Amino acid sequence: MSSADVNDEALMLRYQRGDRSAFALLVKRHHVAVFNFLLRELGSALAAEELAQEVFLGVVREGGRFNYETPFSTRLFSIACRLVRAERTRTPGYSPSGDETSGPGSGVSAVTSQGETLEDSIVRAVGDLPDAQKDVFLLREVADLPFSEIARITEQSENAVKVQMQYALQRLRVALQDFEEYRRALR
Amino acid sequence: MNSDKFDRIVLDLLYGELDELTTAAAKRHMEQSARAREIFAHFKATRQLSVLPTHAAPADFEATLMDRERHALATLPVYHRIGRIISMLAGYAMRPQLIMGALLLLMIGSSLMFLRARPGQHSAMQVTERGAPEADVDLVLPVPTNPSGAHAHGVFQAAATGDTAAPAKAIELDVKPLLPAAEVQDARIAAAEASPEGLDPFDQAIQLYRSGKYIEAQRRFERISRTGGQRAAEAALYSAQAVRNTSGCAPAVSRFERVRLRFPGSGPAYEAAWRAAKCLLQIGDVEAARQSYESLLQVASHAERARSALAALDGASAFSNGVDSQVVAAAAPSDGTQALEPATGEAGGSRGQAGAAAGELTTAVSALQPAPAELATGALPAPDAGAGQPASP
Repeated sequence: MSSADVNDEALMLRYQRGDRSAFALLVKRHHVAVFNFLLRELGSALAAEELAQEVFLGVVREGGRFNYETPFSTRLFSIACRLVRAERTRTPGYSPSGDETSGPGSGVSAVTSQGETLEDSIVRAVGDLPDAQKDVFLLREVADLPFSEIARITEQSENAVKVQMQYALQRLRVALQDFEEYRRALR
Repeated sequence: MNSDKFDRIVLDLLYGELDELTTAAAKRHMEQSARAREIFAHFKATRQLSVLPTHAAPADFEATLMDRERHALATLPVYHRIGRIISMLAGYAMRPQLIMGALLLLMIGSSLMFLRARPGQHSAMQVTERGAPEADVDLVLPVPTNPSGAHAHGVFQAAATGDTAAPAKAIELDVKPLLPAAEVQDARIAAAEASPEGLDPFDQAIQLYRSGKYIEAQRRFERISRTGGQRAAEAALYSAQAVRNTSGCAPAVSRFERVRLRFPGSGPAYEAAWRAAKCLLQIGDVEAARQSYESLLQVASHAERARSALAALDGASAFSNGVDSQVVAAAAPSDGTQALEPATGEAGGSRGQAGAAAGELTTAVSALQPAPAELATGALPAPDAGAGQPASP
């Protein structure tokens, strides 16, 4: 069995026994997802890089208490979310995007397609999502975690996570509906 | 499926987290419901377009992280290090191969406790065949080099009559001008211990024999016997007796017989015949023992003892025959017809007769057993006299 076939939990066990190459492999597997998650959460590449390193160092520090019943990716993004929450409260001038339970349309500026590419619109629309919806959306789309694991990370029920995801998608739909690509995708 | 349920599962359907049955039911519902189709289409289009661009991490991200990881490991708090070590040990302990290996080692270790340290090195252990305790007094006495007339005759005569004091007296006569017998013996043992080369090989073997080292003594006696010489016959007899002491009667009989055949007409040969007969009696070969005793009837030094032994054998066989006939008579009913009848009262009568016969049997055994005084004087050989005792050629 090659190293590529070994699952994350087995690699973490090897790392706990002193195999640093296992940790290097874990970093290689997950660092892009963690970096992009943090980039979308914080909006700054520099802050995302610094926090991504802190996420993996958190794994190093908590290595002895690693729970093998929890998938490694869940553990990794739990640390990431915890750090993001801490960063949000620590950063001066940071303010949440609005009412996290609000439905589509409320608190979101109108988005037009004039002078703006689809990619820019998506990035801006995701950045404008309320924090709770943004967390769920990014964990689902960037980290590719199932709703059950997202519920464990965000410490909510699975139904609450799905409701947040529906609101997030409806907000994005509003931001995208003026684009020709959206109309084509509907057909 | 209704609209409410469809609204609850639409996201699972969108991300493929539903099982096959529910997926099929949701698709059937969408075929029937325009609203459901519209909701799903909007979600699907939004998801298709909401793909965020992926940015690569900085090039030195991994290298920097590994450096920081090494530093973080070096500066981990003590309780984190302990937790890490415990986690490592627990990870190894949970491996079934390790558990099985530990069990195997435990089994091997516990088995080693039951192994003897050095098998075969327990030659000092002695076992008496008939359960009689071994005599404390060593009756082994060396045969004189040149058994001349009166002295040799005195030794063998004393042995024949069972008088254990007589041989000692005979030897005492020889050494009296120099030292008393006990002192001579002590002096010889001391000399042998101080400088074993000071004694001749036969005396060294004798010392070994007397100190209970029968195997080594037997080996030396065998060597002396093979090389021949004046004391070859004695050495052969001692060798056979050493075998008798270490291995019992069965292997010793042939050794005694070999002494008798190698040195016919010599004192050790007659003594060997006598001891062979005793061994034969012990292993139950009564006829062979009888023949051996009969062969000694013509030897002056052993004739008396042989006669006594034969008389004892005859008495024992007569007793055995008498007991057999009495037991048969006691078991046989006075009236065969009555004995066959299963009446309870008469059965009790038969038991009374058997009890009477058993009483007579006890009396007969008491009458045939030799008195202790006879045993002491050697008029009759003790049943296991010499069993486990060193030879007294």
